[in-house]
Amino acid sequence: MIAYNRQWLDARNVRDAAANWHSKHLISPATWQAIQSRYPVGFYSPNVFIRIGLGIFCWILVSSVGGLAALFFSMVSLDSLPFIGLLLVFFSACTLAMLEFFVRARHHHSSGIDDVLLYMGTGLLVGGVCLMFSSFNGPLPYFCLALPILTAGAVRYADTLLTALAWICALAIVFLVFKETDFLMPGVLPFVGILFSGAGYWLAQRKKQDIGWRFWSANLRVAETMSLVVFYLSGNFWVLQYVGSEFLGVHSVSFAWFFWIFTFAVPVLYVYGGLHRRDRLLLWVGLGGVGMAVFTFRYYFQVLPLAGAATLGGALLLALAYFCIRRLKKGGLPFTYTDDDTGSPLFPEAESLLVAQAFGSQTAMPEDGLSFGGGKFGGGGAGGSY
Amino acid sequence: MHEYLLNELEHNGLLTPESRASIRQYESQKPFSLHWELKTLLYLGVLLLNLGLGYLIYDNIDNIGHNAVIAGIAAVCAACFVYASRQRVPFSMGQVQSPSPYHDYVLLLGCLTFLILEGYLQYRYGIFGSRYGLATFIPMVVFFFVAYDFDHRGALSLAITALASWLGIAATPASLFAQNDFANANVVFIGLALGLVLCVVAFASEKYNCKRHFAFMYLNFSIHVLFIACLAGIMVLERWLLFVPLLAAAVFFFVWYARSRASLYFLVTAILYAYVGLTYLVFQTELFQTNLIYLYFILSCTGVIVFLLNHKKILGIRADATG
Repeated sequence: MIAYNRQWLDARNVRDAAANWHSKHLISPATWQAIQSRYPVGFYSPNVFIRIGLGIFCWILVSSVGGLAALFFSMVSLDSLPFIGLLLVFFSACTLAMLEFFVRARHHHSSGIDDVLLYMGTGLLVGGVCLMFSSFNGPLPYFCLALPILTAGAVRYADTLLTALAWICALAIVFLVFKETDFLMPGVLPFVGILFSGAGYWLAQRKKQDIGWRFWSANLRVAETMSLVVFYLSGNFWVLQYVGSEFLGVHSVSFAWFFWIFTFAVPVLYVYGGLHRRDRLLLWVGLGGVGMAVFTFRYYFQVLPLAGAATLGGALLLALAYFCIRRLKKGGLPFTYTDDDTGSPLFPEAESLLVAQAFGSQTAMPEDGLSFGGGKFGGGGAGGSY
Repeated sequence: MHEYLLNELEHNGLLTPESRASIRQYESQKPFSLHWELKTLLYLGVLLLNLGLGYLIYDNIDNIGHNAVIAGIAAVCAACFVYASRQRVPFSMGQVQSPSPYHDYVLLLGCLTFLILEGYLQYRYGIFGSRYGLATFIPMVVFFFVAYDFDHRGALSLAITALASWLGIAATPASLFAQNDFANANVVFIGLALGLVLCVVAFASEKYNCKRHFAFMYLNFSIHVLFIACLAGIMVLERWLLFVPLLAAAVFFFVWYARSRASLYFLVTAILYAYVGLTYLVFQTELFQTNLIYLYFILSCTGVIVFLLNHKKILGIRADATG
């Protein structure tokens, strides 16, 4: 089912875990040497920058080969949509054949080349198949055509982006079925989202325990993240009112009291659950949810002017972080502030570039000397929610 | 998952029951690290506080409470610098460990509130008059001082951005392309000079061992400013005789640097800029304004891919290079 060499995938897991245990002095250097020679990994998985470079140039290359081929075929005939669709499917087959060659004969794994060939091949296939059947009404049939293709790509190449797309595709199908059949009132639609993502989360959690699914652990993590995010967004009051008035023409939210409680309770539960079960994913989605809950509250109740609220919020965040770090440094908790060295060596540099991006524009003094600092605080996306 | 791996290792005779037991104990008892979560909270706190204070100072500008706000911001700024210098680690030419997790963020807040105050004083009282240069020069000096004295990379990146603004170009990562007027020859030449100076500073830091871990920051600003200035010289000013050789020299220099330091980031960045320049030049020739352009893309991309696939062999970079 999976295109990559299973033995090497297993060997990589063993080596990663053993390298960690070795750095914590839990296994002897001799054992570490023995493990390395017993578990060779033959993948070509270059450095991340080389991967980006290879991806960009592979993308230009495949596009220009496609352009040349399109030029050739345009001399013959390009006037019927199904024929163009057929051509795209043919290009996709060629791209996917190249992908198979690189994965199986050249042992590429996350090299940039296999990533781009997979995305282009899948994209062309979805586009081609949809053009071949271009007479359907409405978007629902096209989502149904795309879902098996995306799922197959996600499974065969254990790809996370395709997993996320397939997940969204499945959600869209469920929503469209309910919307187009008028089977249920719009008031019930949020509960569909909640149930769907709840089921998705439960399934991903279950399969994570299953050792037969170990090659797809990254995919399951993505499915878990998507489920958690969509679960919260399906019940967030602001999202419900926005989606309702923009897409469904419903201006009031039914069961409002329930969704107000949901908006504030779920992030807290996420954060609590994340800490309690030591689940970093749950914790991060929960922290994002807290931000979203604050945004929702401020959207409806402007208790303080923006400047005061941001100042107070910033001070509170700093104080919270300060006391948490102090408490953690005292010890005695199952948590620690010590970095478990998972970050890359370039992390400090990346962080300071973030500083330059967020605050750097403040150093500029415009010639009129008037508007400085007044309104333009460039970058800093997170500030927008206040 | 751990159980599965442990079984596998024990089955192959690579793990004694004792080390298996100690690994199991470690895995079940290791504490959960909240390092990046709390760092993110600190960063967001500084971001929000800076945003809030920046707006607050211009709100209710004629109120009585206004002076209190100014005094408050000045107090925050002073408190930050006093705290930072009380807690400081003695200066060293090498890399210094931050004395506490908050230290870097307190300093960052101090720098930012200083900027807010300075901007306000110029707005309200015009302390620099029309000498706008001075208004960016002072924060630049302060930031460079903070960067070196306290070993603060964030202050260094602010200082380099302030240096660029003082010279009249926008150098934050996202505004480099968008906010500069490259049709102005001055901007292009200043960019060129700034890129060269930053590059020299980077090498001097390494050679004289003065905060050599800052070299990456300098060189990272340098590579982008330098290449964009060269490309602007070629595309906008159309002074090919000057800028094409400069671009070629810059490419060779950074590929050489990437080779000597095994830094793949600089290698790929230089190749991308070189490819943009080459493609622009090819587009200018009559021959390639036909369908032959497809052939150019196919051949050149194949060439670059083959080069990247074999970069270690071609450049002689050692096998375990990561940066």
